[in-house]
Amino acid sequence: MTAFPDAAAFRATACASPPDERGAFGDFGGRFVPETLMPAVLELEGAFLEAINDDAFLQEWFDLLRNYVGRPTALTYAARLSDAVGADVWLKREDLNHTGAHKINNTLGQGLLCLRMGKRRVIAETGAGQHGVATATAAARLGLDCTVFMGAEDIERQALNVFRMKLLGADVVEVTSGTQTLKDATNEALREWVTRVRDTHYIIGSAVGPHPFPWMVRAFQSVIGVEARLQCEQAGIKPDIVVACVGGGSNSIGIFHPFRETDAGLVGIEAGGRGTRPGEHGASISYGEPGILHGSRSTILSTPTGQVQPAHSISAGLDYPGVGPELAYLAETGRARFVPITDDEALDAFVRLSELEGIVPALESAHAVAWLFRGEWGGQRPTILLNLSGRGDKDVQQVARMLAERS
Amino acid sequence: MNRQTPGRLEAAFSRREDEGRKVFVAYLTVGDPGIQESLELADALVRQGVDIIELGVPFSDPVADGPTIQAASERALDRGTSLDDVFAVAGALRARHPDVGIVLMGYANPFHHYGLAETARRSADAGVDGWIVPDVSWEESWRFREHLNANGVAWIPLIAPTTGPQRAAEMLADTRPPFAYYVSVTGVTGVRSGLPEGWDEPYRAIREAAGTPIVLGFGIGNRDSAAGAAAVADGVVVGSAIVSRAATEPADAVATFVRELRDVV
Repeated sequence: MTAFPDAAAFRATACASPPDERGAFGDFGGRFVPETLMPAVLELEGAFLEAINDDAFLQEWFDLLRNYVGRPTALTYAARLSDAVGADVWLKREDLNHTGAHKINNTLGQGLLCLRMGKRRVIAETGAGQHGVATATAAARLGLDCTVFMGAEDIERQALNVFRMKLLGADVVEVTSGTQTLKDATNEALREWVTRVRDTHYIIGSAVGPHPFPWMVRAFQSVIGVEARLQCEQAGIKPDIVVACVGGGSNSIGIFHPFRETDAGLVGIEAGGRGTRPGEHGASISYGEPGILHGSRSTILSTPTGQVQPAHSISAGLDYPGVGPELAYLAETGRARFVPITDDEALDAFVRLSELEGIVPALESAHAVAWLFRGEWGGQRPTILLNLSGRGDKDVQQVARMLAERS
Repeated sequence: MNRQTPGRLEAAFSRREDEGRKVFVAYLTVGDPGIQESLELADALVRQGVDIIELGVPFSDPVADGPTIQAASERALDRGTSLDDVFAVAGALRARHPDVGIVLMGYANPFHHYGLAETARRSADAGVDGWIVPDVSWEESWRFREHLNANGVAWIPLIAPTTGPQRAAEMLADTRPPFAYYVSVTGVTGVRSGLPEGWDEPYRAIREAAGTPIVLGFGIGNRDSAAGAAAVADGVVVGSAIVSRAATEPADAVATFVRELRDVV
């Protein structure tokens, strides 16, 4: 018995509930990019549609996912965690993927698409370096040139990932404008794409950006939820709640989307940071407003004069002032709800999951774990499916330092 | 006041055409080095023969701009410049110069944040003739045009070397602007050593099919490039070369520099 879907079943789920012809989910999404990029964005939409409807393309990607990434990833019953929180908790183990997180699902999909479009060069933005490493990995495997844009501040904080990207053959460009973090790395990647659009594909790492990116990234990351549904059926369970952390939203939409038509409640966990004031968090849905950033209309963190408000989170992957348009739409329609979790709660959960289950989660994923300890569900012991989007090896130094500061 | 602005932009093109000359468009980032300085610079530029002033609305994430305008925006924001200040500069400039074209160039979010209906109305009140919003594609422009049209403010589309004649023609037929803005390079704003080789071919192909004047911008910052652009295009836009000087030089000195370019256009 395998949890891996066949091409037709995957396609049917991944492509369901598409955006409208403008690339919008309700009133969120669209294509807010300079005209120079519009032809490329339209070409990409056509190429993606063709590819996703081509069994040969999906088989090639599936082959990489199985034999290179190590999919399907396990669905693990977390017995001791379950008892600690009073729920039956199942972990979708994206931490077991090659390179340590779900990001590789998308970078390999887009990398293959890039080859299909006849482009030989990819660029990417990265915050902590996870998406940068996943892009550099896909580029190495597929024989593509790769340049990664990373804020100067992040380069200093994440020296190890910078080295990994370089080891994988990527150029890492230091971004010194603005806040020198993920937001500005994204700006610089967009500027580079404008400049080199004829020979370069931009692998956006989250379910953000102009149409078709949010839809395309959702489709590639849906492999998480499609597998998880099969695995739940095989295990004879029906999740009452599906929970995942939300930065830009790629891991959350990846697990939510295939469960949309089920009865499961969908809970997205945002970066509550160290407070509710501007600059203290990264909770774009909980505390933000409709706005236009990085190619789409969604909910963003905005200053009183309409500038983009820099975010804060203990976790670099959630330290972003926007969110994918489809998640903003799920929030607006009430299909999903979103809860901010603080830095402190995430740090506690990082430790607890390590102690209880022998799994060191990424600080991003630890936000979702932390929500379990709030016990915010009425009634019986629910069955909860949690997307453990990445492993925490990258975070151990930072956590060691913070725990020392705390004690 | 100035609710209807029939043809200030159109008039600029027909006036120059009658003279056998081209339209000169000058960009400055409002608030760098200061609000009052921006007004005085715009005023000095108009007095040196600039036909259309583009008032740059500073934004935290200007993805279509190179380092010069990025830095100017950051400095303007550090000084607290907001859209209110831009309207104040536009209104004061309009009071001094009833005929000059005034166009706001800014990114989508500040307009969206204050409300598109509200900002379109305030634009008309301040005597603004048009908006250029580089991160809003033709496909998304309906959301903006709806409110601009209601207030007699023009939507000025950008056309790029990647656009191609067919898309450009459809875009212009749909938006019917007083003029369009052709981006000379696939790239961001900023002074370059010269216009890219062969820039004029795609420009001509698009211009031929268009019944609309099309100005050329991005990378024009000296007499050679200004003259080269003006030999083909309906007008030229100078931005970063002004912005980099405005940060450190008095308005008169910047205006003198612009005069030299203006004279070859």
